[in-house]
Amino acid sequence: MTPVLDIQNLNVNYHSSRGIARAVRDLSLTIEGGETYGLVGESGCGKSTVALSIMRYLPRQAQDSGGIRFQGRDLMQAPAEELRHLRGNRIAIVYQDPQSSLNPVLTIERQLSEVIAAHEEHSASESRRRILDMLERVRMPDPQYILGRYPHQLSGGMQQRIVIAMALLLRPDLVIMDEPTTGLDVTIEAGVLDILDDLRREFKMAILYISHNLGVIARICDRVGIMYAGELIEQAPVNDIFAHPSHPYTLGLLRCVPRQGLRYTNEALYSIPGRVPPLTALPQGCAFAPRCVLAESACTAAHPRLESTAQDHSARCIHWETVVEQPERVTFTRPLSSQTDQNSEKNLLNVRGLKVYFMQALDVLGIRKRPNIKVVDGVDFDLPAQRTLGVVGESGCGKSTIAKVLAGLTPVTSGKIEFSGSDFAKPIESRSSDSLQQLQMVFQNPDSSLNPRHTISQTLSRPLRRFKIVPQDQENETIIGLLRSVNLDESYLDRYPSQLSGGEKQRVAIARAFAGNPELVVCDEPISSLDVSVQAAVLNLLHELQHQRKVALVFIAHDLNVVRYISDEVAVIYLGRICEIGPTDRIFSPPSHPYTEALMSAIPVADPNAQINPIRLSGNVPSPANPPTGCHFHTRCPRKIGAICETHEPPAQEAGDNHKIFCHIPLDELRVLQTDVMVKM
Amino acid sequence: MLRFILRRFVTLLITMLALSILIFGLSEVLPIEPALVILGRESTPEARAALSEEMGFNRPLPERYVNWLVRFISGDWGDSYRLGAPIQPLVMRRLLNSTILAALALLIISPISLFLGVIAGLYRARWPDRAISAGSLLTISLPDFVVGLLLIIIFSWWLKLLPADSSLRGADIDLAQHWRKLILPAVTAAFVLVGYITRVTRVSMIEVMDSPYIRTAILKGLPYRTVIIRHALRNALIAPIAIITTQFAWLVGGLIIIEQLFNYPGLGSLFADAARSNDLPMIATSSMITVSLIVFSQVIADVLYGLLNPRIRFS
Repeated sequence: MTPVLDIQNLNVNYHSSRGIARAVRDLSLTIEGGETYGLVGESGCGKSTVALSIMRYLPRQAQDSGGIRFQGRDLMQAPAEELRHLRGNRIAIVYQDPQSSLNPVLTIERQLSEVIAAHEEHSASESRRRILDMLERVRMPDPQYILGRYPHQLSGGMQQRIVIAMALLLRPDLVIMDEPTTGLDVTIEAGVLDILDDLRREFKMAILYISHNLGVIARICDRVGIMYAGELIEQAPVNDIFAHPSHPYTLGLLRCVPRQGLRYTNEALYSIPGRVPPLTALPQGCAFAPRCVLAESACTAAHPRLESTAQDHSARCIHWETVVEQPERVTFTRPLSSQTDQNSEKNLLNVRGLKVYFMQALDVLGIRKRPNIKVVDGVDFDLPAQRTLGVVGESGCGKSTIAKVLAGLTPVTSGKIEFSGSDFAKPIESRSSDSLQQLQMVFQNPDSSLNPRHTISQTLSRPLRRFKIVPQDQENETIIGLLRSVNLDESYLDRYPSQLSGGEKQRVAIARAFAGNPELVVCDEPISSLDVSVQAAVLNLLHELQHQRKVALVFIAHDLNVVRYISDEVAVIYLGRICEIGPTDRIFSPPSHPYTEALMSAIPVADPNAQINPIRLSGNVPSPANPPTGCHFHTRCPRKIGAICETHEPPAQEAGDNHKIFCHIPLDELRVLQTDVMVKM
Repeated sequence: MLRFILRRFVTLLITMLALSILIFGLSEVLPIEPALVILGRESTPEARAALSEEMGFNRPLPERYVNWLVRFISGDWGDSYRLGAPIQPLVMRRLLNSTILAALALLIISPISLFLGVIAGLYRARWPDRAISAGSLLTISLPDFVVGLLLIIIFSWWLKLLPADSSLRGADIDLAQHWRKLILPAVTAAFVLVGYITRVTRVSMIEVMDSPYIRTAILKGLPYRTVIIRHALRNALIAPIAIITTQFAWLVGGLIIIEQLFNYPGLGSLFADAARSNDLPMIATSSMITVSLIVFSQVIADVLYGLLNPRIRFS
């Protein structure tokens, strides 16, 4: 049987002023009908270029060679008109970021119906019937209503379902999915993955699924190919990849994601040193050798071939037999300073009744008063010195606002923030120099938080001078020390941020935050813009620095496993209120708040055999301008018990050890409900 | 949509009110003594004081502002010091002349610049783009009087096709009779803007063609023409159309040099004369008219923008 997609020796080069970037090198893969093939790799490794090459939509400065056959037809030689007939009809594509891939000025119906009109002849009513049918299949609530909407009126999850419906409308034989759930909240992602999983079984199409998230790949793919620096370095059925990774890079990718249950108290995270080489100057021999622990002279001498390691399993590594023998546990590179002083009875940070409301602009006529947006609505928490508080929740729940309030960047509506004895509920302009020094921040995106016109040494000297940390003559020495502490060396001193990779920039941002000897560092999604292989290293480093310098952290993230790994205590936030707060181990074992439970079950687990109990939240996070009455979560809660949830705010139930759950369901009942279904982690 | 327009108009009114205070305030600060302007330097101080009293210049400031505003709104714009005649009919006639000229200029500008901009954007960095970009840069850098003179030399002196003198000799404008006189000033005004709008359109088109939704449209298998007409143009023309609308005010009230060059009786030259001769009521009126034009065309631009862009309309 001819495979649906057959790629042989594909090479793609981008020509630029910096030379020729070899985006894809000698890549061969085939996908059969009904099969889902996962293409995995970090950003810049060539995955999306493969997708664009299949669609014959490469930018003009790109050149490709090799063979791409679709059901036996040579796409590379296909004339424009034939390609047009295939696109959207027999081959469809779904991309990341649905918002920008839908046309903002056309209605959803227009954008869907034109796909049918471009390829088949149907009456308007037949076309409409098929569209409604497909919208039902992607579980779109109220499809009739949706048809008349514009893209910006739909939420991200709904937009992505529209894009998926658009791709599947004509039952294509091949669908390319390029990171279709990246950028969506985990709860939304889980729902979209459910739909994809059902539809791929039903439609029996071939799918090329591109992702950097191994959890998602494990969930949805039959076979997996791992890409590194433009090459396929390992390929195997999904179970084999996870059970017997045969390339050190694959192993690294699998291990550097914090597994469920991993805590900093047990071990450091596995990390891959270094960075992906620039595609314009690839190293001799194996492209991964400079980052590989197993590398020896033979690795750099000759370019390794893709060798067959088992049935249907091949790897591009001369050490493939010994890869799995790598020790699984890793320890911190530097010994951690003695355990945190347990006499930290005294809290560093006390937050009581914190409210942050954003006023909406009045109607011009001033007739109707609009409600305030309650971004943070009565939040209490404490943080002892040198400890870490993790804050999790879906986007729009108020996590980042809490960070901004602590830093004094957003005004407090009401409530108390006490930080080592002084009042921190005031804006940054009215804080004393000491207060500024005590609290520093690390932001999500180091590209925009580092001044592009300052060298690294200028960036790091700023807090040293501002807070008079060291005398002028020791400044340089201190800066080098700081760089070393984030695993960079003095060669970085005179570089500018644009010359650094994302991970390196974030290290500098962390060094800057620690430069002023703060007592608390607030990290707002510090690793979510980084590649997975770099995330682990940055997380390790953050943790080491925290312990050496005896600093407390507020760690805000949407990734539950990451928060679980690094935090001593966790606060789960929904619509501006805390649902559950307590010691990390307590939060992650029953009884838990139903929202926490749903968040946990939504995380894709990087194990194809994982038995997960799917708890899916319906709908989207409601608007904070008009939050539900009673328990904010009742509109989506799978364990809602009745009218009381709608009318009364849930009480704080003490589950022991300072673990508080804000829910109407008695704790014993929750425990029973959740022990039944939860896999003990 | 209606609420959107209504909101815009309320904002418009508030802006106008604020600006009227500013304009009134400015005419107070100007070192001009109205009685002196009217009666001349040879007048006695007693006569000037009497006139000032009669004209109400000794009343308190807020009262004078309110009186002025009420009269202005009811259409009584006072008499010109310089001409000694009521301002309102004069300005209205000039306003009509200027509006017709501006409309004609826009009729020339819009199709040409939108078309050229779209073509340049579609053929980015290839010869049509290079030619159009070079041409638009040229028209932008040529001052309007140079363009006007060149046109006069070519079309009036050499070819003897069109008149160089566009004066209406005090008559009301009549398109059937005067259309030949409008062509050269309109083309000159168009020349100044065509290059600018072409460039805006080009950039907007390039941006849209690079956007993910155009990629979606192409990879849906839509015919190229559908991709351009349905998906690209609707988005790419939003910005240039909004800009064209805001330029209308300038075309009506700002063509001082072109009006003088062709002797065309428009608003611009009337206002320039007023400023030169300390003609306070005329200055205030001209400022109010200009401001109204600008604010009004901005509102039209906003409404058009909202109509073209559902993201604005529904937010």
